Amino acid sequence: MSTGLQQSPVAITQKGFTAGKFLSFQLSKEEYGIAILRVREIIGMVDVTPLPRTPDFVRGVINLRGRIIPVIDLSRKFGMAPAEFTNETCVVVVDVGKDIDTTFRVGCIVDTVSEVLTINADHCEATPRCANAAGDYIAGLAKLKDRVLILLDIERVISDLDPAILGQGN
Amino acid sequence: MTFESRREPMSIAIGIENLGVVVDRLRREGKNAAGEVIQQMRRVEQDAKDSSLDQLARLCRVGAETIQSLAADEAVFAPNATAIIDHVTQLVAFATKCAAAMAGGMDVAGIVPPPMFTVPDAEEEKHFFETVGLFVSHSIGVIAELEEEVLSLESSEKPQVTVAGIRRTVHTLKAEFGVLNMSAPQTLCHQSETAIDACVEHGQPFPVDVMLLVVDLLKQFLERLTRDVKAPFGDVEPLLRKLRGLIDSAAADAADEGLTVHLKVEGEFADSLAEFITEARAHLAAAEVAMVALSTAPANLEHINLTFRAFHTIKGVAGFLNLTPLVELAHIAETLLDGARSQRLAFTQDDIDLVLAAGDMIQQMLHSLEGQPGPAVRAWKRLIGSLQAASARTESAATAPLVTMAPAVAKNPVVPVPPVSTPTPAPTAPVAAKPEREAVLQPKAAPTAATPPEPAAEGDHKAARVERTIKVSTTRLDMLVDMVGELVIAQSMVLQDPAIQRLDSQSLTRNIGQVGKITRDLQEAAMSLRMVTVKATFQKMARLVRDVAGKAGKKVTLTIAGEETELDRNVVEQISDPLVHMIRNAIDHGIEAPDERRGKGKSAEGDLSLSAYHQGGSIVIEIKDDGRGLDKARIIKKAIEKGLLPADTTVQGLSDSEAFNLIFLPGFSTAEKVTDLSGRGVGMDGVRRNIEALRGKIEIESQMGSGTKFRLRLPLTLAIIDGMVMRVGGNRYVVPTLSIEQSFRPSGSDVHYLVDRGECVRVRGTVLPVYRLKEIFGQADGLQDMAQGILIVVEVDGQRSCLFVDEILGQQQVVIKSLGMSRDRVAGLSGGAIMTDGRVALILDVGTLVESALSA
Repeated sequence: MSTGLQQSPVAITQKGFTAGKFLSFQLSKEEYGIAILRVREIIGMVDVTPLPRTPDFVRGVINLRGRIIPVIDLSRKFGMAPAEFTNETCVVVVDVGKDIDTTFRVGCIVDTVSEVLTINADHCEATPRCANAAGDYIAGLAKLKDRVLILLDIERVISDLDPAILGQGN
Repeated sequence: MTFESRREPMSIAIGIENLGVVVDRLRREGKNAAGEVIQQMRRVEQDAKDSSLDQLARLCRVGAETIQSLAADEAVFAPNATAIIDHVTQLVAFATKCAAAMAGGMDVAGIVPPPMFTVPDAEEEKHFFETVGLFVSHSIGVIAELEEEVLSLESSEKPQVTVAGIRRTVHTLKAEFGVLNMSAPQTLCHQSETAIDACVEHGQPFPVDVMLLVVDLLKQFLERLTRDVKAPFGDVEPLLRKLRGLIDSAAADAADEGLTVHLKVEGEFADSLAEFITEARAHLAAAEVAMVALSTAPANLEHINLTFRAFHTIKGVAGFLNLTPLVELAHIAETLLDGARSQRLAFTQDDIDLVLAAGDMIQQMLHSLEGQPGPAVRAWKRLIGSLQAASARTESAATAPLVTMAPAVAKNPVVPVPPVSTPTPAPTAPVAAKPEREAVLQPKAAPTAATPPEPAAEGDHKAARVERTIKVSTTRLDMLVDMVGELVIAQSMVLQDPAIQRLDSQSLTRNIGQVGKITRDLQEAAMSLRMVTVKATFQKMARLVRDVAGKAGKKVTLTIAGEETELDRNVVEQISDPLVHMIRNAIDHGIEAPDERRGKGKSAEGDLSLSAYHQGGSIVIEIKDDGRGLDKARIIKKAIEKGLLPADTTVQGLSDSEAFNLIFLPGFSTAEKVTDLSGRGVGMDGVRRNIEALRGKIEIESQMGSGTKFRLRLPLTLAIIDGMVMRVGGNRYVVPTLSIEQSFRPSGSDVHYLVDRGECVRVRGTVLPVYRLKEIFGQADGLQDMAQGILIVVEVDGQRSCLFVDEILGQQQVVIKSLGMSRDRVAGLSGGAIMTDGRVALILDVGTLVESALSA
């Protein structure tokens, strides 16, 4: 977990950051990254059955080859306009949890997936401190040559669905 | 490039990248990262399969399996770590090339795959051909001599002379192995030497059997050496463990304190072990039922016969597997039963207890074969002693009648044997405290122990009737069920395909129909795999009632109903503990002592009934006693004392059910005295937790003086239900048919709006509340005008109400699946079902739905 950023004078949020490979994706023109160890697969947009009485960022549930999993709309979760579905829209299926039996599998709707990037501690930038609570979901900012990637702590994002996840996560 | 063609290689590329990452971790963290590597390889395997990269998939599978087998043991893993890392690195390189070729639309056939991963020979060998050759020819002679000496011990009059000789021979062998740098046989010889010393020192008999095993192993090794100088020694660990056990047991002398009976099956028999355990359990269960039945019908010889046959069969197979302590126990129990069978002795309650205790101990031994701690050696010896004493009175019956033996047996109760019926053998704590000390029981001069399965005709006959079962992991079972579910969907998609429907062919229609029928049968069969009856659990309770009633000095008759009711296997497994608690409570606190009951004008025998039945889409298990009932006033007083209620709470201030529910609070116990059976206040809150973990509910009904009824309402978690498919706007919902009473289209004049109460409808003279599903679920679309839709009458806890939906689409069997969310978040839903078009429909839980509509 050592990121070599101790010398940085700014207090930063980087609880969930581990150097490694990240899957980058677009969400309302911003580019985000999720640690690919959490990514189970990427599927095209499918029919979503709305799930009543759940927070509005939960779009509903889908049938993932015989298993029902909840699907969340990251745009809405982060207070942006709900995702518009295009034929680039897809669902990034992530697994959260320690072992196969207790994993919590969730689909995240994103505008489009871009590429897999290696991000190490040198790229990682301090997250500016904001009053916005959503800052808690960010593991760090990765400064690339021409752009900035927002690294998500997907475990925290999903823990809003089931607080028990944080307890069992690694 | 289209999106579709970009996504697949992307998914596999991610898997490969991940694999690269975890291999790095393997380098740094060693074995700890192996699990992740395996998981990752499986993932790549699946992606590869999806992309038809068969070779890659196969390499991943074999690699993952090999690593898994290596990772089990650090000692095996460490020397192979480099090879594993190399292989996975090669695999990653290969996979990357494949993925790149695939993404570029090129043929992957030309890429050279790395070799299959095999376990490399860890033994680092030197060239010592000449020495080995010489050594082998010499040692074969020495070992043959050793064998002769050991055998002669059994017949020899003065063993001490040869024991010293054997010790010397072993010592010489040890030295020679040492010279050749062969550590495994050297250790073996060394341990044998120590074991011999220990036996001599403590005056124990010479361990002939174990030494013969040592000799055999050495002989086989030398024979292999003649063919191949690099031959591995083989698995020496089991034998070493035996020797260590021998040393310990010799040192521990007769003091078996803390020792456990250790059973182990080696080599070729290991495969038949699982089958043996399963069958033995079935036999024991049957025997237990017979023994419990015998206490009420003592004259029934058939029960004794059945039990005898059960022990006999177990003995036969255990003898074949060399499970000596188990054989001895089964044999002596069988002797006792034989005495009863041939009516040489009257079979008493104490005898029944003894036989049950023997059954329990065999159960525990079976558990120990599966890796749990075995029974204490002391308990084992005591039980054998008691059984021997009991059956000895057969022979001496003529001269010394029951009076002399029976009390001795009764005074020496077999309490150290923990009840195996509870899955956690908590009472073995002293055993578990010293797990490193295990003793191998000497096969004492028990002539019966070595007896091969005698004329096992009866036993075979019995075995034929026991249903054969195999153990399958539930993960695989779930996978099968999921895949069959997909097949059903795929089949109906084919059927509904417009291209197919345009074809006008009778034979095609017929064949498709046939496929459909087979698919449905397959689905049903797959589903039924997970369902088991509650019978076995209920039978265990019969035993428990008998034991607990005996200890509490009460008379209880148990009535069982609905034991054929089927439940998901997981649920059945998990209701056992709560049932045990509740039955103990019912007997200990609920049912009064015989005198007290007579004083109240009840029969001296308490009635306890255990029943299971379906109700409204769930399974209900009911435990009912006719004891003293719950005392509301006392419960409230107690709760105030414990600070669970404010001090000024009055008895009238709480409803019955509110008061009764207090007993589920942690730390609450109304028992005046704490007994060893119950009353520590740990039970009921645990019961509720267990039941709620199963998404079940627990209800209490009680009447002072006339009894208490606990009702466990359990959902069929992974079960097929018959459901009505409803539509509301663009959404489909499934309502369990069992919850539906009727449905109808209301005419405008039947619908009323009551001030403060909401909408109501008159159905056959009664006025029922109406809940609009679209409003409960906050749906924007859906019908507004009731006269255009359908009302469904449902019943919850005796209260009827109506649900308003747009239309009924039809009736269908659906598989309940979890929604993959933490469940408290979705009140009113019990899960989801995958419909024939592959989309998800939500299954309503009418109970919580109505509840939540009321509270909204």
